[in-house]
Amino acid sequence: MKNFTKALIVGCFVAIAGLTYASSVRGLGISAFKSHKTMDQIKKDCPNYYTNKDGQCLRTSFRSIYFLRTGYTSSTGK
Amino acid sequence: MATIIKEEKLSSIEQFNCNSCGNGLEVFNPRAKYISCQYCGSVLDTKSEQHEILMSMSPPTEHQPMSFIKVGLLANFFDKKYQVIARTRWQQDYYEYWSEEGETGYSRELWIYDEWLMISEQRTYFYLVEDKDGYYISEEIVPDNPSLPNESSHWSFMKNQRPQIINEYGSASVIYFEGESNYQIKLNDLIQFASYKHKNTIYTAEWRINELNNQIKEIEFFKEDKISKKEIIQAFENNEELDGLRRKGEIWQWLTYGAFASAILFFVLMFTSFGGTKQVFTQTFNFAELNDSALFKSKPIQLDETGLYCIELRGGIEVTNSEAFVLAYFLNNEDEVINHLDGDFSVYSGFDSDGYWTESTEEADKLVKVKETGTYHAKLMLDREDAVTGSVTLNIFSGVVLTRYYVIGWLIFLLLGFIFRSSMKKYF
Repeated sequence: MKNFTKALIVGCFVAIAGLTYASSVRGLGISAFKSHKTMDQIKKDCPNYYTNKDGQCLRTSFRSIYFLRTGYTSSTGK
Repeated sequence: MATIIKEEKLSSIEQFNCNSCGNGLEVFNPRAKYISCQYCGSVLDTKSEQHEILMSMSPPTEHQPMSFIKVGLLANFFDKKYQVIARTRWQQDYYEYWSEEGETGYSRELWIYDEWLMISEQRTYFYLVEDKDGYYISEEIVPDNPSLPNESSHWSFMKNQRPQIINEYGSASVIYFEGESNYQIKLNDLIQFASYKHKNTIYTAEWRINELNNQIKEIEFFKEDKISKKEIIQAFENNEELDGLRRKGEIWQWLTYGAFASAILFFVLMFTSFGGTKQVFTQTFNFAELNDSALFKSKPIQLDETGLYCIELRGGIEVTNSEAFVLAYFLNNEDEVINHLDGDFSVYSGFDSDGYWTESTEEADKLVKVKETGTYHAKLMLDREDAVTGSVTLNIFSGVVLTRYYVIGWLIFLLLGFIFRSSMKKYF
């Protein structure tokens, strides 16, 4: 077998292994810490949050996430 | 790499072109009267001047050889040079002995095998038998006690051998022939046979029945010894035709070893990746500090490296049959919410027909990719019944590695390794 063919075969395996290693270490498919999904949810519940940083409005967002997850009303009734 | 010595073919005693297709034919056996062209299937008379076409076999494309062996190849067996001069393909319809869990019997089977006629420079010959299971060297022998099997299930025809179980018996018919022959081989030429095994050798009797009077007209005795594919390839290695096969075999070999090496690498990476995580933040919040009307701010979360992090909320509820919902917002240096993690924690227990049971949900986590280093913090909210007490711990780990790709890589390369190996085995 020619040396070129051997080098090609080894090269392919090394490339695939390298790609897999890079994907694992760099987190291919994992979303960023700065999540647009979270920020869009906040903007939906608190349209002016990112301009006036209204902490109380975050509570509204908490309740919408809570209702979605648990299907229950808040135990405090608020 | 071994040096390939290209040997010269045996000297033919006659050469002529096939009257049907024009391809060159050579006769090596001085006793051969007929030759079947391996290119078009025509059977020619070797003794007549015109080499008339006597009949046609099936087209060669319908009965391709099972492996690389073909008429004309040279081989080294028993320290002598041999050449392949003919192939007969037989279809067997026979009964095979079986023994399982104390029961025995015979089952009907159909089988196909090729019989390659090998002739030496000294014009001695033997048959190389090839089937799906491998290769056998078959030699004609003179029996010590010539006999055919009778009604008994045991039989032998050599001295110093106790009668052995008849392994197989039935008939075989010719379905294809190519090369030289002393007699005119016809399609569907039928023989009867029976065989037994003694130590590792198979002993076979073959006989032909006269169709007119149903009498036995000819009997031959053979012994067969298995030979490995490796020995076969070694025997045939001095043939240029094998160069291409050898190259293909090497490619499959490298692919096989590469695939298994990759599978081992990913397997090792799967387990070594667990030890690299480092806890960079932890803080425990008592339920009494948290509520659903105000956010409780955590200590600063310092993330000094970009990369993968694992954020974890671990709940510890102290009251059985209760639950609590925790939401953690994550804010950047500019006090903007950029992410969140929620945890629905519960502890339930009870009794049923199997006894006491307990179920709990105590953990919620997510992986995130941090692209900007800096100081972050978290704000937590909690919803629970007033009587529910406990705490929730926020942990953040760095140095996380996604093992899913290692698992996928390990599985894929392991499977590829076995696939490549099955292709490689055709050549080795």
